[in-house]
Amino acid sequence: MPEPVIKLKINGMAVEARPGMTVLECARSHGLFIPSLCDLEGLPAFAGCRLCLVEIARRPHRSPACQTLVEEGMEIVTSSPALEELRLATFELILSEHPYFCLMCQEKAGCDELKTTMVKALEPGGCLFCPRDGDCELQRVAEYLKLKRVAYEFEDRGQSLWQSDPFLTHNPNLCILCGRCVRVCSEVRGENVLSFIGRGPQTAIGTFLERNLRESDCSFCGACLDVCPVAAFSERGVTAVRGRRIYEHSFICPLCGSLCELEAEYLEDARLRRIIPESSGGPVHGLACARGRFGLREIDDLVRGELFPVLQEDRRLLSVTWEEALAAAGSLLKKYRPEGIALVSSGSVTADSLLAFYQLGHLLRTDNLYYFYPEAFLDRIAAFENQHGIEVRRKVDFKELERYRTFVLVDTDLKSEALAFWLEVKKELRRGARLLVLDSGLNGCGQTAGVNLRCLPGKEAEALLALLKRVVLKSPQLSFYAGYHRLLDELNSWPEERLTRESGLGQAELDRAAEILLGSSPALFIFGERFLRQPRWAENLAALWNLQLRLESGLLPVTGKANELLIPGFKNLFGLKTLTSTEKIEEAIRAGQIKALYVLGDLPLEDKPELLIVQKPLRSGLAEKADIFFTSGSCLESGGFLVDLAGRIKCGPRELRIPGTETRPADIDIISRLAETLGQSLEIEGYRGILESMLGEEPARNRGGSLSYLPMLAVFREPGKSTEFEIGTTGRPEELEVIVGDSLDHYGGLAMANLSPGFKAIRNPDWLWLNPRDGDRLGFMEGQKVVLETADGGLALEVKYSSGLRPGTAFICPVLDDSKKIKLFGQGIIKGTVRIKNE
Amino acid sequence: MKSRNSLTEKVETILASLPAERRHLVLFLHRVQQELGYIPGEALRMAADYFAVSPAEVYGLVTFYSAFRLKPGCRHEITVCQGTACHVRGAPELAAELSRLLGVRPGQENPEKGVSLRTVNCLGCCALAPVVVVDGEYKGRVQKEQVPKILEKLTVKT
Repeated sequence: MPEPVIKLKINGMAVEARPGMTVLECARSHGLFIPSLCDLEGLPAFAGCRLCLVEIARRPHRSPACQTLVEEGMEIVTSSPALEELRLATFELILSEHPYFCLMCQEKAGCDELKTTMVKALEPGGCLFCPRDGDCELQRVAEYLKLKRVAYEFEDRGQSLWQSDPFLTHNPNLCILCGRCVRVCSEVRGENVLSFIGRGPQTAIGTFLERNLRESDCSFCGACLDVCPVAAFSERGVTAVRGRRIYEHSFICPLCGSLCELEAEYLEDARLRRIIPESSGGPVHGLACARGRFGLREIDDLVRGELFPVLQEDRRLLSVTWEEALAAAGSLLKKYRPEGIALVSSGSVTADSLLAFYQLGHLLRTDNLYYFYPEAFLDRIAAFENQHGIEVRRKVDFKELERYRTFVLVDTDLKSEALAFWLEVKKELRRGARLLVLDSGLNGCGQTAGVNLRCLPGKEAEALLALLKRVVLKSPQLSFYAGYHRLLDELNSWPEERLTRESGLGQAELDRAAEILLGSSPALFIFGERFLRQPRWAENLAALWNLQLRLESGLLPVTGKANELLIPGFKNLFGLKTLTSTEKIEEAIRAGQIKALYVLGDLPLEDKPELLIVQKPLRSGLAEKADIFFTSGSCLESGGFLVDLAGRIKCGPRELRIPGTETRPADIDIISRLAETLGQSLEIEGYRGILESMLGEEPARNRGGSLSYLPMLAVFREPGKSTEFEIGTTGRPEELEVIVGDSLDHYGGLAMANLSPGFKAIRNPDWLWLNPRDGDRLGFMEGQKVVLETADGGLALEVKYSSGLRPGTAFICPVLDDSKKIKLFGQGIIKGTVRIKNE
Repeated sequence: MKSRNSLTEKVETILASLPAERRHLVLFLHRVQQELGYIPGEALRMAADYFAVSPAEVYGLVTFYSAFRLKPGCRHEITVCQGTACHVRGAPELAAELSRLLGVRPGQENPEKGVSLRTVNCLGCCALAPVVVVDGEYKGRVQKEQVPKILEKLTVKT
């Protein structure tokens, strides 16, 4: 069926449009320019700037094109002397509160060359200091309207600048109140940090209680920078281009499974100017978060440090040529028997490098191929599937999200762990879908949720069963999947109020959540690695399985890491083993079983085998102990294949080219050259095909995997009778239940917070998140240095408040750079007491 | 510590009396102000959580209406309407006179005299213009000459 078409006339020209298009979109799609400052593709219409007013035949008033939908037979005039006069008058009013001297300076033409006019007016700054000069939307409109003079004296609002946040600043005196930042912040990103505050002439962009952004739950995604039409929001340290040559280099950020496409802008002297999201579809659609756009920007200088490999000889470190280092590595590796060699990879390397790395392992005939995977997420799902004969889907399919009317996030902060996925979910929320969050820890999406269920840590299963019980009671329809009657019997044996009490949730919120689940179906249950990184993970998953089956809804695990979906394929292909901790490797080294170790990425090891080869972009951590250190290109210098959370292969450009700068070889090139020194060759050309077949492999079906309810009693201890692991029920008042979250804020084995002071200010892995009430109760202050005592030793941390955290619980997000932290991470939820640190 | 807890308790009681739908947010703010004399930041945070609205939006709302106050008020509170009807009937002069006699600008307070002065955009009783509200008592058709008398009564009360 052909798509319905609306026929209308613009400026006498017959045009066609799709239903639901606005007049502005229609005009733009036919190459017509209508000035506009507040409208932006992807944002809901605002009709605030009034510049896009058009005349429509048979309508008494002029209408804003951005908010007027096309209609059959419409006759529109987008430009007439009267309209342009009106626009100019409106524009002058907008400019009465924005410095406008830069827009009509008569010396502008020769300014770059001559710089005749340093001070345009008494206004401090002027165009010479404006970071957006040449790229300002006001300048474009002024040019279109041929602005010559402004009838009003410029009025400086005199509001103070936002100066206490890292990465970006806001100058309210340049703001034209177009509201793009407010809309992108709440409607697109779901950050909900910015809002219009005040009224009338005092209106400004502000935050809750006018706090700093870093105290306002802002995740510094930088979307406000991308949409601001003027220089009201500007990135720190970024000045206007003004005739300088800019080298653009697109690359893929490998720091999470979203794999955002970013663009790095380099100046002629090879300095990184800034990193922005790739935005061919318009600035609203660009994907980036603080990690990619600010974190990588600040670490760029550091990772480009060492250009040559480093060899350790008689305790001396020598910088040598690649030939020498590779020959040394080759001849040393040859000395060991295959069973004495181990290869371990971790961290954010490309998929083709991983493939080459494990293939090299095969060439060395060793079976000791490992992937450092403390999350053990997919392993646990696979174990559960095998045990129960069920199947859980792995890959996110963005296209099918529109099918779902409720999204339930279970122990996953999509905004931070899978931004690309979150923005798609957010689109559905704008179309009326509902959001529920069930999380015992901090969850950045909670603010957007209709109901935010903060259950007790480790009591997710009880919370899900309490929900299931309500669903069963509220909707007495039968379910035809096998095992339903047994499930009802089991549920009957657990009183509702006990499940509710055990979960730590309130009656009312559970009722509301159940109503949403029943009233707005189908639902998609999305769970993250924290849901399974708990002692009772199997119970959690069984309860979730039964709930989603009863509601005939979807179930989807979300993988936080790039290439994570390849792990099962690597296991099949190479017999790869995953490591949840470093203990096994350490033992093998101490016992002399592993004599030579080749690490791609970083691994926090205390002991070093006879031969240690480390390959990563930065000589830190394990690389400092290495006999041979291969300094490989960072994600900014070299790309390759990466697999995102939807199982798609993305390919970044192989090389960064800025004239006059040297870069280091990519991981894959180092590995294949090493293979050559061993007299072997890797067939890199066929890698894409191998990766595709690995991803295309369906999980082994027909394991009797029909849809049926899981018997709860088999996996589930009777609620409230748990003995070995008891949390949240009793305990000393000073004891907190500490949830150990996943920190993605590291690159090359180094925490971003340790490299960038800005990052430390917004997301410090040494923060101990507490509810302010607990802080008061225990006599702490925010910012206080404390020690968290656990059964596995103490951690030096700093108190940070969040009222989004349930009282009695604490939250930490350590970067896993030592074995103690890995141990805590593996447990997921620990008990701890906090004491003030003695200096 | 104790005062903080009783404050949260009061706010929780008010929240519990209202359905968790965002349309009740303004009513909630009125009730909190009625109960506590002002709206503390903590109450805004709790309301955001309860009504599933972002804290920034709640703050935007509360700053939009000049009737809401975010800090504890003074013993006496004088409000001058600045609506159109009051404006044409001399409200600006009234505000200036009050400002001169109390030694504070609108929107400020004088803790010594225990009086705060503020202007609002419309009180909805334009027939009585110009309107001054003194400690909740509406005074209609106020003339500039009556102002000292109004203030005299205040000092007697203290």
